[in-house]
Amino acid sequence: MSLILGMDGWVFAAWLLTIISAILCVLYGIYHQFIKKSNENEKNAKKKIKKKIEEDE
Amino acid sequence: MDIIFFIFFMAIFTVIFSFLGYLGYKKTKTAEDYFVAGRKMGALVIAFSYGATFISAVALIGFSGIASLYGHSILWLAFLNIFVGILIAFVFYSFRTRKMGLSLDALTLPELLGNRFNSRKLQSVAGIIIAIFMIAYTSAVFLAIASLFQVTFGISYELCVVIFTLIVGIYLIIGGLYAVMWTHAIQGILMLVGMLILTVGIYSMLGGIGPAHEAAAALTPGILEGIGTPAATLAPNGLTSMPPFLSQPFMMILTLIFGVGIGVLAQPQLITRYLTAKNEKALRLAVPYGGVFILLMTFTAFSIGPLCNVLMVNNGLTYPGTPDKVLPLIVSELFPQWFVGFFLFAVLAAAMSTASALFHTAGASIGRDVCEKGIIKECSHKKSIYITRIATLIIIVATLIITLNPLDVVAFMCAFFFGLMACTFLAPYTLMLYWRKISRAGAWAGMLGGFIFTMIWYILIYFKTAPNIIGQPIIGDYVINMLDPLFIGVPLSFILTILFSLLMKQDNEEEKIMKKAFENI
Repeated sequence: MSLILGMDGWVFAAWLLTIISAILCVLYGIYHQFIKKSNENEKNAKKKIKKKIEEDE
Repeated sequence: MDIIFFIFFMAIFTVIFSFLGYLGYKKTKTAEDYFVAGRKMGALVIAFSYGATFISAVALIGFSGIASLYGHSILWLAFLNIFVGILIAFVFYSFRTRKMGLSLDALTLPELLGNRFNSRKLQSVAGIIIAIFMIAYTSAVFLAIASLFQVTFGISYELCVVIFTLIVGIYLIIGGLYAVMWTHAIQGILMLVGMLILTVGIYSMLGGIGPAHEAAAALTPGILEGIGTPAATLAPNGLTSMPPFLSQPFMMILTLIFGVGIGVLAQPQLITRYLTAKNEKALRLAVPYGGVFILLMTFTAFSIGPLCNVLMVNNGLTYPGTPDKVLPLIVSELFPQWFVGFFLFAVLAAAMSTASALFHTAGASIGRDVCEKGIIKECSHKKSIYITRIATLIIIVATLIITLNPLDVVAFMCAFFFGLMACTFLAPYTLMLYWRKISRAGAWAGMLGGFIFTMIWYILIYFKTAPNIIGQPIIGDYVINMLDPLFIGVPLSFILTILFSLLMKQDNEEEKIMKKAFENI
């Protein structure tokens, strides 16, 4: 049976999935710390602009 | 190992942890402070405390030893530890638990159940189950670490047990959960550094990841038998391959992976960490810290376990007799003396962090859930903290007595712990967070049904426990008797909870509480 990094397919899958899970955890944190926040900021800014336009009209 | 080194390190531990205990004492004004650290904890402390509570000395030393016997297939547990233990736990459980805890003014898991279902009896029974089994679990943690220190430093087992219990007891009783969580942050850093040095050291001794794993894969049963390890029979396809489907080693791995991997969702000592968060953001940001922490703990411990066999072969060492001694043997024989001491204290930190969290949860279960809410009913903040401090002291003394006179039953109860907590609490806890129609009768049925089923399974059927209790499991087939009760107990508990909730619906009072519980969700 061929080995990947010295491991069989099932064990390599566990090895890889463990690392992917940890990366997912990090991405989850990055998303909520930076991306989602900027999305919300963007939405808030758009709302403000819309409100301003409505007031001007 | 030098006794002066032991005294020096223990003195540092005592001073730092006692100081943190004092700071915790100064900050503890209300019951909320004592039980959930004032609900003021940030992401990093939550992540480290969750990780340090989750990963005990048993996980580091015991599981890496088991990995040396069963091979890298145990890496599936590392995957579940991160995927279920961090991602699923935080994303699907932590936010709702925190919000519901705030809405219902609950400070412990039994109190959350009791307030949600308007039943003090439910709270007290849950508290008693948690406290009894936690004493056994904590005792097993101290037993393992004291034995390790006895062998290394030549200090008597009894003295080690007394010293470790005293240090944990002092800062816990004085400082409450503030002290516990702050000490966890320090203990977590020690554990991280220790495991990192160990892993890098072992992989570099073997030439990197690929060559190290290939060397492990090349160990034939003959070579493994030569060093006296049972790995020859327990890893029949080799140390880096899965054992044959449904073989005995496969069932062993399966039961271990799911017992611990899924059981983590219903551990009261971990659920308490969600209640300590200062806001939702703290819980969200605890995910990346927690994920990386568990990766550096379990992934490394399970990866280096099988490689210990290669190191034993290469260095003319023989299997030390039990899996718990494999990693300490490698560290003491192949690493410099300074690291041997450092590693032992990292393992001690792992044991202390788990023990302090267990003591705190067990003390709160008896003090808050059984005495205060079940017997006294209402009391002031000061009295509430006082009662729990006394209850915690009693739990600590009981644990000390049991650890000094270890009984076989303690080892069995410790083996029960993760599976029992999952079968008893996972269904009512999960449904309470997500299903508005769950009723008090459903919660009772799920909790007691899961608990009774698990006890029966462990006593009559399970291969590890039944032979020591009744002589021989009543079912001889290993595919069944090696199955963790969780596989049947958890679905059974879910079915009972749903069925009884549909048959015996919520009364008006329960409905009102349900609406309040979901107010912020």
